[in-house]
Amino acid sequence: MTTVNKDGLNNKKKIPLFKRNMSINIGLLLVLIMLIPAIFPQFISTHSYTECSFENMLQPPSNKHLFGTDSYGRDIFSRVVWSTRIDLAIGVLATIVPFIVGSLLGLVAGYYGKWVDDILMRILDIFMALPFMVIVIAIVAILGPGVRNLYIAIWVVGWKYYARLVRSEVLLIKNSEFIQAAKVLGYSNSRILLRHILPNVLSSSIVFAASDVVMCMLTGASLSFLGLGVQPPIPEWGSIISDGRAFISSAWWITFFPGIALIILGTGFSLIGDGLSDILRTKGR
Amino acid sequence: MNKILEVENLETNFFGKNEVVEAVREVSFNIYEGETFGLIGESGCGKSVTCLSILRLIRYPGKISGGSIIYKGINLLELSGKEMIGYRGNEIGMIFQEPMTALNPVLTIREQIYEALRDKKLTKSDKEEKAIEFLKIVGIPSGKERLSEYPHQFSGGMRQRAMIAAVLVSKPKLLLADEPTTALDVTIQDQIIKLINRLKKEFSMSVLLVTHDLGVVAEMCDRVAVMYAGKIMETAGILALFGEPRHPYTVGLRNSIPYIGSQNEKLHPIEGSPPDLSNPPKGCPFEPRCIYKEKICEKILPELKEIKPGHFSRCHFIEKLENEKGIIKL
Amino acid sequence: MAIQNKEIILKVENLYKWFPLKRTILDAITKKPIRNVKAVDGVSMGIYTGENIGLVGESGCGKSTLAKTIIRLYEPTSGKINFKGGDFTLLKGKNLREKRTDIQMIFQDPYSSLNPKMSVKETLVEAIKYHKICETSEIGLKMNELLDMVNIPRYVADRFPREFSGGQRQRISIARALAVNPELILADEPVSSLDVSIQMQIINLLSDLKNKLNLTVLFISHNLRVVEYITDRVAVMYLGKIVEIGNSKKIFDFPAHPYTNILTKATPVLDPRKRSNKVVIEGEVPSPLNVPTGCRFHPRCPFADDICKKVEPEMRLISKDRYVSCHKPLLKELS
Repeated sequence: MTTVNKDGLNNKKKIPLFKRNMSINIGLLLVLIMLIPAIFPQFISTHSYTECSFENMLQPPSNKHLFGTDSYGRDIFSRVVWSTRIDLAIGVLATIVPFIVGSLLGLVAGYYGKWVDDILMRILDIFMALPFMVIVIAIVAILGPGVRNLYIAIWVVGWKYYARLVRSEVLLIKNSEFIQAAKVLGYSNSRILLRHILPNVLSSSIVFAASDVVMCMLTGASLSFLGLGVQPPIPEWGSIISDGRAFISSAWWITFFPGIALIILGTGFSLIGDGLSDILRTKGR
Repeated sequence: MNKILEVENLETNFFGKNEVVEAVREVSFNIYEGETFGLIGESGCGKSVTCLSILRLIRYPGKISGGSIIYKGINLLELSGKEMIGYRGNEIGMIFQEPMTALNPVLTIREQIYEALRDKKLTKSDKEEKAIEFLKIVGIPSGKERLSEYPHQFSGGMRQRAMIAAVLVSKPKLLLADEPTTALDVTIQDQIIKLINRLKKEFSMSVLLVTHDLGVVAEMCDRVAVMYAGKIMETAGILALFGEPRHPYTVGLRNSIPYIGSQNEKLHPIEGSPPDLSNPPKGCPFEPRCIYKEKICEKILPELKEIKPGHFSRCHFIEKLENEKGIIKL
Repeated sequence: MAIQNKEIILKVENLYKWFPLKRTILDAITKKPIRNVKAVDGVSMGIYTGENIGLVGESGCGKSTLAKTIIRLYEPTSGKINFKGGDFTLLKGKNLREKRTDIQMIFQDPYSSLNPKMSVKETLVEAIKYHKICETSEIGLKMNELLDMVNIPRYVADRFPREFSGGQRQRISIARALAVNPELILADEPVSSLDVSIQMQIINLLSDLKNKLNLTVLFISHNLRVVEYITDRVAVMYLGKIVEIGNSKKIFDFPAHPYTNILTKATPVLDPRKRSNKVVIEGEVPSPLNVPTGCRFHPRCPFADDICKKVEPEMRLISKDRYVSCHKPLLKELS
């Protein structure tokens, strides 16, 4: 509710962040729920994630094995729980580096323009033409499978989106009057870039980053599914799903539960992104 | 003289998530045939929304919540959507402030004028002839070449003329003009003002002019209503409004204009700002800024009273204004 | 207000600002001449210390570009800018940034002239701190002083621009400009985006501040009434050049240049009894890409002669402190 006091100011009642938007609430809730197994897997899991037991192969979900067992007799529940931190880490870390690097490149290219911008744009054109998944797989194939190379592969291609997003936003505001005012006030270029331009150009990148986390997580899961990502014996949702491929009709629980976990975490971040998009959009003039 | 438009107790609201903004609050006025009626006020007073309401161009989250709009005896608010389309553009036309956004940037001028003629069962060559004729009427001579151009190839003044042409081809009887000259330079504004004045006579139209500029009002209007916070504060003939303003807001507006020749007088503007219409005040909306206010003004909304034939004012203390000078000396 | 000492605080000599049009590769190969938007096309003028001088003209005349070139937001294509006797044109880097505090600007659109992500406090304190206007311990005091000067209540300092109306935002912008203790203020259409009743509040504020702080103001506007009300002298611009400059009241009452005459006649008279059907002038201002030869106003001038078509008129003194650039001015010259 807005009332205007005698000075003519809007007395907008400050609505706390969590009341403003349902999407962001549900999203945060889902992510927070998944943080528990991510941070404290040792307290939640019922068994070791590597312990094999040939008597208990391919057991359906029961009181002893909440999500059932796989073809080596390993407890699916514990494996899914221990995977959470891997997948969460992949999602977040594979996003953060391109976010920072891409945004900075876009910032500099957009602001300084001319040949700096031209060079970046030509490089960007090349990278934009390369399909994401294909290049990631190619890089991992060259460097060899493993989590570290997975990160490198995603970092190499992931920055292009942020560079483009930030650059367009910079171009939009770099001739705004408040930027002109900053120049007239004699502020240095670095101050203008970091204090005046940067905070105003990050909103689309942040929203994109939220769904990028999902995308990176899925890329990691896909690569592990193909055997190129996380290597055994480290559990990862994608590789668990891959293990369960041969048993889809007979032991559906092997593919089902890691799939659900991916969906929950992915939906959580997606909803956060949606909610942020609404909030950042309406927080306008 | 006949009334061509009667607006009675019009109410238009905008429904937000937590609040309702009462943009137009029981507004009533009449427009007679052949006259130019001005609706003057500052931003947020509801004049543009009133204009859009007449053509029922209010969409969600806005809604016309009450009142009647009687055009040539028919209540437009009771018509079906389809029937209303018959009136829009044909009987009642509208021109807007920003010709760049009012004209479709991806269509040529020709396509836009043709679109206005689409119901009229004309052959293509008839339409072309009409388009060229109307461009000439609005002062764009080489019609044939210009018809193939796009709005961005026209200057601001020309776009405004093109928009007027597109509206006039249907020969409307009532023209709604929403700040048609605000975005224009003073010499172009002069051209457009005189164009509209001339076309009004040639086409026997009535004009509803919405503006915040008293100068434009002086050049164009026969009668004027002053709007503030969604309500009409004063309605008068043009000479009465300029010579004997009888509302504190009107007087305040007069004080806000430095007019050529007043260099040494320091003018005292109205202090403060307009109220928030999501929570409109119970009493007179101008009370917080009024220099004549008294206790009753905050509590009770004054009625619109006829103080002289044709001159209405909404104020508890009209008599206090008797010594206020007008902009002109009658 | 009489100007006590006729010292010149800012002098602009033969200032040009041209914007070249981008050419295609084909144009470059065929050596087509580069076309320029001649926004400022040879302006020379002086601003006296302590005066309020107006700059009027219609859109495209170059008044905004002139101000932005003076303040080095745009680099001049050629010409000189002299501020307080020192050359302002060629300053660079740190020197320029330090000198900038002496000339500040107020912009037209209050909705985009404040950083939306910075509170009022942060905006003002940044300016004060960056230029070390006062001791660290006195920053709060200085900020409050600024807010008081522009009639913004102190308790709103933590709020963000979106919580303020247009008029209030403009006041905050004025406070920001004043934070660095400037001597000259270029006000670029500071009230054009505001409601009529708010305009007068801001105009009076600027006037009061100018007197209190001994400022010099260049007031750019397309609204002749406002300019006549508030300024001592005025310069009229057309298509990149100044056509007339002198005392405001005298220029608007007795214009010497035909264009000034047109501008005053086109401004609506606030008397419904004095309506006219006759248009003051037909047509529109030509594009600054195609500036007419000779006197640039000649295609539209009712008095144009052969000489007007061929020879560009010089700026001449025709009466006390009144200069006009016209072969056939409407006022006779004083001998």
